[in-house]
Amino acid sequence: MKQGNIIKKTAIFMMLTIILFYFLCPVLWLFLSSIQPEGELTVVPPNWFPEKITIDNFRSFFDKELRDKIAVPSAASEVTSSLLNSTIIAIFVVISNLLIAIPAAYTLARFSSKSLSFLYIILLIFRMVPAVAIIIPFYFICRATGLLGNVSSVILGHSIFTLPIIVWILRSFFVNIPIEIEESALLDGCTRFTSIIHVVLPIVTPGLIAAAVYAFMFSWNEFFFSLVLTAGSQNKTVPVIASYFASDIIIKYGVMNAAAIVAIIPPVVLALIFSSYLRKGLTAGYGR
Amino acid sequence: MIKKQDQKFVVFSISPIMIVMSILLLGPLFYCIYLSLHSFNLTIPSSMGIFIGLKNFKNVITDSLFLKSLRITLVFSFITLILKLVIGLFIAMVLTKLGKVTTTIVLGLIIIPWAIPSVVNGLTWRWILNPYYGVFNGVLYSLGFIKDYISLLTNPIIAMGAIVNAQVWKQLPLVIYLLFAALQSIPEDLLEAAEIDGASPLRIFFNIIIPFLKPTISVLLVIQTMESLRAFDTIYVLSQGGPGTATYVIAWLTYCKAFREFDFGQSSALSLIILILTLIFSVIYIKFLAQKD
Repeated sequence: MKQGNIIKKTAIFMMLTIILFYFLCPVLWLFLSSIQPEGELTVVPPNWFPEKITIDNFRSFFDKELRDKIAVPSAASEVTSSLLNSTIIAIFVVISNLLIAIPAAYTLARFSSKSLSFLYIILLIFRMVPAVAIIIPFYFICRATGLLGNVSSVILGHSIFTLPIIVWILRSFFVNIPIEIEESALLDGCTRFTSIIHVVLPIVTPGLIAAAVYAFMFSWNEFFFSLVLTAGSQNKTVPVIASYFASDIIIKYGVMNAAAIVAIIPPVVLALIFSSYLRKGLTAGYGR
Repeated sequence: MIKKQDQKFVVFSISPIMIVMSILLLGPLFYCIYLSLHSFNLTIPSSMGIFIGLKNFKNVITDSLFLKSLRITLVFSFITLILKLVIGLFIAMVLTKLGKVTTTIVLGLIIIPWAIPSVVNGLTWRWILNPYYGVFNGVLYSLGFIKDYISLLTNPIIAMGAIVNAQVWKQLPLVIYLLFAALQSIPEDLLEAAEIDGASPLRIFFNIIIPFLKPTISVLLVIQTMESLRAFDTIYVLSQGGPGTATYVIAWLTYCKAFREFDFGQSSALSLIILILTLIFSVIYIKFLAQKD
């Protein structure tokens, strides 16, 4: 029996190592490639462990003059402004979406009626609409209303996709709160509105965190809408800048990897810190 | 039914999202229908805005590239789906055998592929598969399988493999989370009773575990298929639909029709076709959800 156990445990340990290797190595390789000088990256076969380390790639990524000199294909967009844009857009998406979604999610969780069920289904259907279906008209509408180079068009564009999911995540959290809690608050003289703010929201904080982090990550990572809506303007987002490195023109691979690392830091850091919240939020939503 | 004193609250709380979503989604959607019924080809300026009925749809459907793209998308969806489910289930099952602390750490770490932008996902694999300096070539070379670095992404099958791999790698964490949660919901005593009764692991798997997982798998089937219909970012960065048209998924075709061929009428028609396909899947999904409740 004991020997069987050891074999089993070794097998599981080996599986675990392979699993972690599979998921983490590509990003690790990205990181290792970003901190090596260009000369070290262009050796055959590659260095399995970095022999020389440098932060020049990151410097080049942020330094406009250097970028022009080392032939990084891009428009004249500034890298730092893209970081600012992505952050602003993501924050606004989170705040605006939460403000709109919280009341809706609460109502969908607490009340039931034919019309509400119908609206909920409509919301779910909205969620299924692929980006390609609405990008062209959305682009034209933004152009007509003069919003095209503006971050607000991107904020609105992202919200189309984040709102349904946030409502869905929050609703599943609201449903899990026993109704007695609000009922006692209402008996104590609160209006429904104040009972939500003071009693329910504190309890459902994990859900709020999950929804907020998810929305931030989605917005930061979003590419398609951001690409189309910022085309031709100076305001780009980080994924759009990163996509410029996907080119066959001779580029500096070190800078490409540095750009990629810069692009992944906010979402990955957030995801790692709040992974349990995200996990709970996503599985709770799907489970219903 | 809703109590009278709550009615005002309900209306006020559900209106904002409905209004916002209607403006942001329905508006563009109707405009899309309008565009699809007219000629909006920037390369034929003389016919801009002329009503042409279903001609755009006809042109789209009879385009051989459309049929090829549909086939490629279906193959792509199918392969990624099977891989995600099989590998995801396997990994989820391995994770159930670990201690609580290890499980939490591992589940936390594997979120990384899911968290990165899909553009960077493309860049990562693009670098790994680089024909001159990529580490994939490096491994093959060091192990003696090849004498010279090979150009990987110019091979249609490898290019498709690269896209499939990138998609699967990125979306596995979510699949694993869902399957893991479903596995956890299986009552311990049921499994123990089966083991005591002498059931073989294979029987336990098929007769106990799979039924418990059926709802989750069904949900995953639908959602992940929809994701495949949307796949764009990775293709933009890794293959641009190439080599040639080997990885021309449907979302890429739409993008090209709009922003490379500048035929907004046709691309709108194509978008609507994709939308209808997606809606068919959503109806299945919602019907299924309604069944569960």
